[in-house]
Amino acid sequence: MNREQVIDVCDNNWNPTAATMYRISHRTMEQSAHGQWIHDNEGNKFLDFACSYGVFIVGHTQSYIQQAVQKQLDQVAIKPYGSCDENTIKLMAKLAEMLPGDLNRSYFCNSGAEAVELAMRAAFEANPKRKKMVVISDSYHGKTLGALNILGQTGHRTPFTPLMENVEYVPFGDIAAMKKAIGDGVSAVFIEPVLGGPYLQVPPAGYLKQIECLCRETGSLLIADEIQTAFGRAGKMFAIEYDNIVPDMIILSKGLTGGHAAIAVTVMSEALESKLIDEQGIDPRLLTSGSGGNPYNNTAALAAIEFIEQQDLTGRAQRLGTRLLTGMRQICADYPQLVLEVPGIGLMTGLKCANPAVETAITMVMGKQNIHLGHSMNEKAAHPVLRFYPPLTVTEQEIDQCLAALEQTMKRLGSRPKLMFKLLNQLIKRQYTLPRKFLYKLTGVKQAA
Amino acid sequence: MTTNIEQFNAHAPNSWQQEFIGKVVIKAKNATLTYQDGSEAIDLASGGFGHQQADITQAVKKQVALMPLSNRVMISPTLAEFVKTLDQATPAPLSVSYICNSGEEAFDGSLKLAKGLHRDRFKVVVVRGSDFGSLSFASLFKEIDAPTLAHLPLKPVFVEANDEEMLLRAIDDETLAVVYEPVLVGDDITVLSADYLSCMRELCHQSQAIMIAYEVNSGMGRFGVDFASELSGISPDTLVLGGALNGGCVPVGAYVTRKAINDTVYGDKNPSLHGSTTGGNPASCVAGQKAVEVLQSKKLSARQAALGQRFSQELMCRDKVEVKHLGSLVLLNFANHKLADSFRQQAVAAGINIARAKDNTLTLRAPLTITDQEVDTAIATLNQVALNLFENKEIA
Repeated sequence: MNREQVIDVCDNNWNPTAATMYRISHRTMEQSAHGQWIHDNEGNKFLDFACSYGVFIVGHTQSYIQQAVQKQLDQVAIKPYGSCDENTIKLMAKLAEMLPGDLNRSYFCNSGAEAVELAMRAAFEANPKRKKMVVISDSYHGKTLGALNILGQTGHRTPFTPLMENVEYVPFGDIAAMKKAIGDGVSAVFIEPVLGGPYLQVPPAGYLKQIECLCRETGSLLIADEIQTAFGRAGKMFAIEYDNIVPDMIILSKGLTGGHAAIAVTVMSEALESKLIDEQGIDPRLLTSGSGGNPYNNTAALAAIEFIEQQDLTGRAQRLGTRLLTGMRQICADYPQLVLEVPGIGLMTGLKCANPAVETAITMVMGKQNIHLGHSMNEKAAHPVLRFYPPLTVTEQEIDQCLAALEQTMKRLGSRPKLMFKLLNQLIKRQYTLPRKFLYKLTGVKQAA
Repeated sequence: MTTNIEQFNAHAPNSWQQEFIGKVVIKAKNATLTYQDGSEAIDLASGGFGHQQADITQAVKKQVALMPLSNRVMISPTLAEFVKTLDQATPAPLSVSYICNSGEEAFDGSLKLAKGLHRDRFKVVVVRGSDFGSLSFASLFKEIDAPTLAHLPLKPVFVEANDEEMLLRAIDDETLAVVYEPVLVGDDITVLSADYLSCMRELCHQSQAIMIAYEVNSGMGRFGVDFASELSGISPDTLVLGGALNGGCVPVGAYVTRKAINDTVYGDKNPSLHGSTTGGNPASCVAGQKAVEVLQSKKLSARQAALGQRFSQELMCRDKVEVKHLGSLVLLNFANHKLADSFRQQAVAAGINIARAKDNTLTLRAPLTITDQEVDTAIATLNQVALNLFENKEIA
C-alpha cells in the first residue's frame, strides 16, 4: 500500500482522527530504525527525541539485544503453560537483585496498564477494609478502563466517568495535601517518582521519603509507578533511589526491553505476597496475566538491562542530561512568552509550553528539521510539557544537533506575535471537531479525487 | 550455585508456581517442547497457535531487525496491513480494529468503548461460565470470590447460557453491554444457540447495549471455524481476539467493532484517547497478520474438526472417561477429581502436558499446528496412561 492507501485504511479500519492528523501534519511512513535514528519510506531520517515517551532507552534495534532476541525467536517465543525459560528466570533474579528491600516477586504483564491493574487488585485485597486510593493529580497510569479508575489526567478519564469512587487526587510535590489524604482507610498511594506525561515535574528532595513515612505510619501500601522513569531515564537505575525509598510494589515497563517488545512487570515485596497468599488467601487468578511473561519479551528485557549496566547508561543519562537541560534552559530563557519552564532530570526533560499551540508549533518546526519530540497530544493541558526523551545512547553531537535546531526554532517562533499562538490555540482545542476539508485547506493537503 | 529451579521458586509469582511442572523450556516446535534436561513433551495445555511456524517466525524476525516497536510519530504501514486483514477476516459488519498488547487488554478496550457510548450505564449482562481473561473487569465477571472487586464501577448481572427468558429479564435500557463467549467450556462444551444469540441481538438492538463476543479462546479456528461466532451466524457488535492471534510468536490482541460505534465514541476525539505505548507495535502486527494468513492458507480451522474427531475416537478410555469434543478442544470427564488429577500427573510424567483439572474434568488444548505425528504420539501415550491408571498396567 502507498501512503494514501495506508491513511485510508487507518481512516476506515482503525482511528479516523489519527488518519486526519497524519494528513494535516504531512507525516510519512516509518520503515526502519537504528540507534537514535528513524528512517521513512522516502529516504528521510529523523533523530528520535520522542522515543515513545521513553521506550527506546538503548536506542533502536540495538545489536546486543537484537542478537539475543533473534536467537530466542528461533527457539521459543511464547510461554507454554506450566513451563518457564531460562532468560525469564534470570530476569526475575536480576530484578530482585537490582531492586531494594524484599521486592523480589515478578508478576509479568503485557503493558503498563495491565501491571497497574494488577497492583490495584493486590492493594485492595491486601487490606479489604481499606477502600480508598490516593493518586496524584495529572498522573499517568495507563488507559485501560480498569487503570482509568486511578488516572490523574482528567482529559483521558472524563469521557468515561463516572468511574470508581473513593479515589482522592492530590497535587504532586505537595506533602501537606498528601498528609491530609493519607489515613487509616487508604489502601494504597500510587506515585510516579518523577511526574511524567505532559505535566513533567521533578519533586522536591525528600518528598518521596516523606510519603513513604506517611504510608508506614498509616499502614497504607506504597506503589511506585516507574514505567517512564526506570532503567536510567531519570539518571538513576530507579528514580526511587533519589530518596532511597522501598515501595511495596514497583511497576516497570517502557524502557525494559530496550524497545523490542511490549512488556510490564509489577514487582511485589515478598512480605506483601505472603500476606496476600497466606493471610488473605487471595484467589491466584487475581494476580496473574493470562498471556504475560513470554520468553521473547523477557529475553529482550534481560539483554537490555545487561546492556544498560555494561555501558553505564545511567551515568551517561546524568552527564548528557545536564548538557541537554542546560542547553534547553539557555535557549528558552530568551522566550518566556513561549516556554514557562524547562523541567527535567537525567534524560527526562521537556519544555513547559505557554499553551498547546506553542507545543505544537515547536514540534512542527523541529519536525521540519528532522527531529522527533514527544508531543503530549493533550490539548486540554493548560501548559503541556513537550518532552525531549532521547535514547540514553544519544551522543553529545546529537544533543548539540537538537539544541541547534531548537535555537533556530525558538528564533523563528519567538518573532511571531503572541496573539498568533492564542488564536492557533483556539484552533487546536477544536481540531478534532472541525470539518476535515477546512483542516486540509488550512494545511495544504491535496485531497485525492 | 543457585539452580534455575531454585531461582524460579524464589522469584516467580504464585500463580506460575501453582502450575509449574518443574522444567525449563529451551525450544518449542508446533506442539513439542524441549526441556533443559533433554526431555521432550507434547503440549496439550496451552492451546494457542503452535510454535515456530516458519512463515510467521521469519516475517517477525525480519520486522524485529527493522523496527520491532514504533516511536508512534509516523504512519505505521504494518498496523494498516493488520487492521485491513482483520477487516477482511472477521464477519461483517465488523470493520474497525483497535490493536492491543493482549486479548485481555482488548476485552477491557471493548468495555471502554461501550462505556464511552453509554457513560451513565453500569450494568453488564454476563453469560455465566464465560472466561474473559485476567484483567480487573474480567475477574469481576468470572465471579471470583473477591469482595474488593466490587469497588469497580461496572456491575455484572449473570444469565445462564441458552436461557432466553433470563436474557429478556436482564437486558434493558440500563444495560451497558452483554458479554459472552460463543462456546463455553466447563465440564461440558456449550455452544450458544442461534436462537439465544438472535434474541440477545434483538434485545441489544432495542436497548442499544453493546454485544461483545470474547473470542480469545474460541477465535482463530479452535472450533472448526475461523471465529466461533460463525457457528450461530449472529455477529456481535464487538469481537475480541487474542490468544492464537499471536501466531505463537509475539503477544497481540484486538477488538473489531462496527464503524458506527467506533466513530460515535472516538470519531471526533483526540486520537490518543484509546492509544497505548506499545499496542499495535510493528512486530505484533506482523505476527497477527501472518497468523491470520496462515490460518486461512493452511485451512487450519477445518483441520481442528478432524483433530478433535481423532482424539475422541482413538482415546481408548471411553468406558471409564466421558470424552467430548468440539473442533480440536477435547474434554475428559472423570468419575472424580482425584482420578482426573492422577491421570494428569501420569500424563505429564509421560511427556504430555495437560492443564490442571477443573473439578472432575481435564481439557486438552492442542496448538492449532500440532502435527499428525504429534497427535499419534499424544494419543498413544494417553492410552498408555489410561491403561496404567484403570488397569494398573505399567507404561511400556
